[in-house]
Amino acid sequence: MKALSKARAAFGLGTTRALPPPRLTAIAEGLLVTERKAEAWYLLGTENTDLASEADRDEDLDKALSVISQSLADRDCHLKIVWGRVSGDEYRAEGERLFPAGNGKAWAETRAARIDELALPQRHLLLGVHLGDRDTRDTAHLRGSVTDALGLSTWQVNTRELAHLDARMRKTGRQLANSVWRARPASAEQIAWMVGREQHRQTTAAPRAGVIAGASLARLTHGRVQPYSDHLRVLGPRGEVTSYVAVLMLTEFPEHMEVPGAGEWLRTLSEITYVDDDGDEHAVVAEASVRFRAMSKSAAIKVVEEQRRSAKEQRKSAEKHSAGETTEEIEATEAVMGETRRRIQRDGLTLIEDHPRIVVNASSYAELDTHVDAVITHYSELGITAVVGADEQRDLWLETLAGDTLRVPDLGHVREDVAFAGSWFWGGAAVGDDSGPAIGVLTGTTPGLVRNDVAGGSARGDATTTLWCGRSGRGKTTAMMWSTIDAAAGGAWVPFLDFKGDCGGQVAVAKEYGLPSSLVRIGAQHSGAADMFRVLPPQDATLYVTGQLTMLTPKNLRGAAEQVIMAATRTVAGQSNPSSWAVIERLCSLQGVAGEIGEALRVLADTPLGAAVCGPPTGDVGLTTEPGLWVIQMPGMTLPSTVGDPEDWSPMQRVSMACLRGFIAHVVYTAGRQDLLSLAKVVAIPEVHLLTLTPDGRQFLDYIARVGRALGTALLLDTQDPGGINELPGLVEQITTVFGFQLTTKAQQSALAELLNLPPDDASRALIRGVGRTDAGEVKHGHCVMRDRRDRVATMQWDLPNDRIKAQLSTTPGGSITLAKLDADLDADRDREYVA
Amino acid sequence: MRAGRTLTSHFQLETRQHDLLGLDLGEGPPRRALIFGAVVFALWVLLCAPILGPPSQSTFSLYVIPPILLSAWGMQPSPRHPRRRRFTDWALTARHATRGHRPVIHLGARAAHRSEYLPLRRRLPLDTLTAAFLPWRATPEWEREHEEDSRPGHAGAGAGIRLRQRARLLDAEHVRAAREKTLRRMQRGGTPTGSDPATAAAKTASSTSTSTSTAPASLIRKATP
Repeated sequence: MKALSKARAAFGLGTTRALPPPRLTAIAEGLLVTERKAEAWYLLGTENTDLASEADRDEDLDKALSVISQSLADRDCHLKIVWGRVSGDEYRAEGERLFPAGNGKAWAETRAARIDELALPQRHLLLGVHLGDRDTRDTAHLRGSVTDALGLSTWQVNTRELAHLDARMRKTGRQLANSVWRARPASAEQIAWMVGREQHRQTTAAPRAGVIAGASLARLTHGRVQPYSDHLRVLGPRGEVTSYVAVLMLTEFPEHMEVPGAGEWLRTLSEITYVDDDGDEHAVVAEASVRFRAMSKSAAIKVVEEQRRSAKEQRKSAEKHSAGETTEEIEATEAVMGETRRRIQRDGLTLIEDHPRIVVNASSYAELDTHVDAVITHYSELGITAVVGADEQRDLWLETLAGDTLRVPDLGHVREDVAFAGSWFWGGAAVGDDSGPAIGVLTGTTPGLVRNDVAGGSARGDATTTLWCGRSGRGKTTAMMWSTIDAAAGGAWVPFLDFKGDCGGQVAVAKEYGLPSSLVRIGAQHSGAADMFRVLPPQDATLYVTGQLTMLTPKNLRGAAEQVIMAATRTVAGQSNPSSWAVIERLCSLQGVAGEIGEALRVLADTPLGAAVCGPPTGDVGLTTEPGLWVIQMPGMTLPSTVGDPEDWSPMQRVSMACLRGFIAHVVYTAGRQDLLSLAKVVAIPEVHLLTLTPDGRQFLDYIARVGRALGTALLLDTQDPGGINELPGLVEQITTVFGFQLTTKAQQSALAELLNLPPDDASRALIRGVGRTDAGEVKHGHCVMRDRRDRVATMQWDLPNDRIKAQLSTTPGGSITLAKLDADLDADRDREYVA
Repeated sequence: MRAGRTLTSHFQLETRQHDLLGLDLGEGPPRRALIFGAVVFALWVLLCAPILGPPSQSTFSLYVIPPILLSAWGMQPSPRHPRRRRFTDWALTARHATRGHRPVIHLGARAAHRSEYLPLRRRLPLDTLTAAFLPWRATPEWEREHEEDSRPGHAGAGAGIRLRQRARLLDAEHVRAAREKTLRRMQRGGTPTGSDPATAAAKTASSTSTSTSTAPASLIRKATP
């Protein structure tokens, strides 16, 4: 009987083909129980491999090999790569928690609607591990049918068995959870979803009782599949075809496959595309089902030795007879099997037996044909033969179901562990936070949603600085504006220091969603608002006031200015209520150069911007401490260019720069007030490269970043000069998240690569040069390389939910909302409250 | 850079038999083909023996040639999958025609009824067989594609039935003549004018014990069911 069974299997007609479909008995967390056996199901995490270094990937691969050989040896496993859709419903449900301020529900709804519109595919990696056979008898199905007919079927797993299976599932789960796959038991709902979707119909919400059995299970498996010779048709309740499905087998692989490269045959599943008649490229939704078994050392040696002996016997037999010598294939097999045996014994090589299937579905037969052709072409480019199973679609489809068994065993493969794990089925693109506001989409090898919570750093006990970096016009400031609205909707206090004056749009957006917000323009009435003495403790302020006033001093007096100003500042710092204005008055009271410097500074202090920096400390600071989005603009401000020499700055540029520094210090120190410690704070500073131009500016930024961290305040910085940022190790240390946009010069590309934790080599520079550009060379706004707080790096696209918000946040001249237009839209009363 | 090796081809070793009962077979036939041939031969003999009797000079070729042809052809590599033999393809095709085409309903919770099976011509590779053996009768490929697109979903609502109904268009004159004829008959039988003759007849029939109706027996019979 066994010989007959083996003979049938050798011809591809194994007895398992005749088995009925799996009769599901129960589904629980991490468990799927059928009439015949029980399986543990785990959800595997995606490892970000798109931009990982080769060394990192090798390390991860070794970890995966270790898991396969240790935890999965001699166990029948079933790997499924299936695709779902990212639904906006989850985001809607999270809306109230994520966005408690204003009309947060509407804000979440805007994004959720966009998520639904994008219809992003979402990859799910599921690993089934055989726990044990429940009923090995061939008559199990017959017995089940008889008990059904007599009404004696219980359709339940008794509690002792369930507890036993649960313990076994958790034991394996603990081993896999610590692996590179970060596996966790799939929830009952996820397993139910996996089972229900195989019927390719609208899956009803699975019950949340933890164990799904009886009538609920019957509902999940409700469906009808009609096998044809080369495909299957899934029929709806009215008999209409709802889906066309084809199952392909990967029958031939090259003997040697390299990783990274063609060996990543499962990771590339999401890269299969086809071009339609209009020349547009579309993705093919191809899923994978791989049943595999990692052979134990003894089992592997046994099969290899059998094969080696067989080859040897053939060689010797040929030598004895007139054939003389055997074929090259047999000689090669003898040599390879001998070498493999040695490696298994000495190097711990593990052999895997696997049976890969690719499942393609479409809404019409013609479309299915196109998708199948695309899959075949894709794999042929990797040297792999993919063929549609003819006259055995039913068996192949049943084999892909969770809870079923291997039905077509004759076209499987035996390979080394690297050849299997090198498929990188768990690889892809993953970046960003697990929860928090959605900001865009992944553009790497696996699509998905990107989330990033700029205000979440302090709650995690992590550093809090986020950096946007790239050349002008690439969307970095717009992206930062979006993050500030998200933070304000999250209930944070968000001052936005808009010194450039083109970032008023986010206030209009915030007001539309009922978020507290205001646009404040600094004028003469804010005298002394940016005075360092008013912001910093006197002992800390001394150096910064000296720096500010020295910078404001005319070029012809600057030679002796630093010493004179320092002396005057130290004197004033020792007095009660010190101020920069007091320093100027003291300088004016002195004779000679000091008096001239004092007079020059007094003239500057008479201007509206100069008054804010070093005027009499009598004005309003212009900034509220209530939660909301507060944009501070300074009309008439002229910031210096990044290429000019600071020595050659005009008086206006010097005053503007001093004002910028003063307000940054003011905002950060306000954020650090004891009475505001419980409030989430996010300080946004665009154009930080202007600050890093001067030594004291760099020192100042470094200091502020450190203080911001200590006070638990998130700092959002936007710069065009990553090189300048890299020179501030204290600041770099605090940066947890970087968004790298396009840069064109080699030095800046290398600097950005360093910030992104990428090797500063040609490949990284090419990546930074190419990001943010379409294939046609056009600018792709918002496309960037993101490094998240876990040091994962992947490309992503910032996505604004609708055209209205895009127009409102635009910083393009002519496309932006001008201040005058914005004023008309803004709540005038609220503005007056802060300006007056 | 890491490299992994797929050993599948080494596990597909085709072993050959270099001698048989002391007879040197040179390069030798594949052992699997020999075993398959032996099994086919045995089955063929078992099939033929009751019909043809013991092998004789006249029936020897009938005993020997078919299993040899079948084995030789069946053990050739399959055009679909080179790792398989033609025999496997035939077996799978036969299986699809008999069992493999049956719909999977509710994941096997209910077996498909015969009426839910695919029609025979959809199960068998008739086009392929026709093209191979009767090329002049083969359906052109473009016609097959058209047929593929237009075939409806198989709802499994039972086999199609032929309705033997024919509608007749009756003109107003015909209806008037029929009405007058019926009216005259009713007047002769005493049935109230305007009532449905069948209903009236039924009423008459149900009250035969008290009525002296003279309605025709044919009308009474028609109304009784």
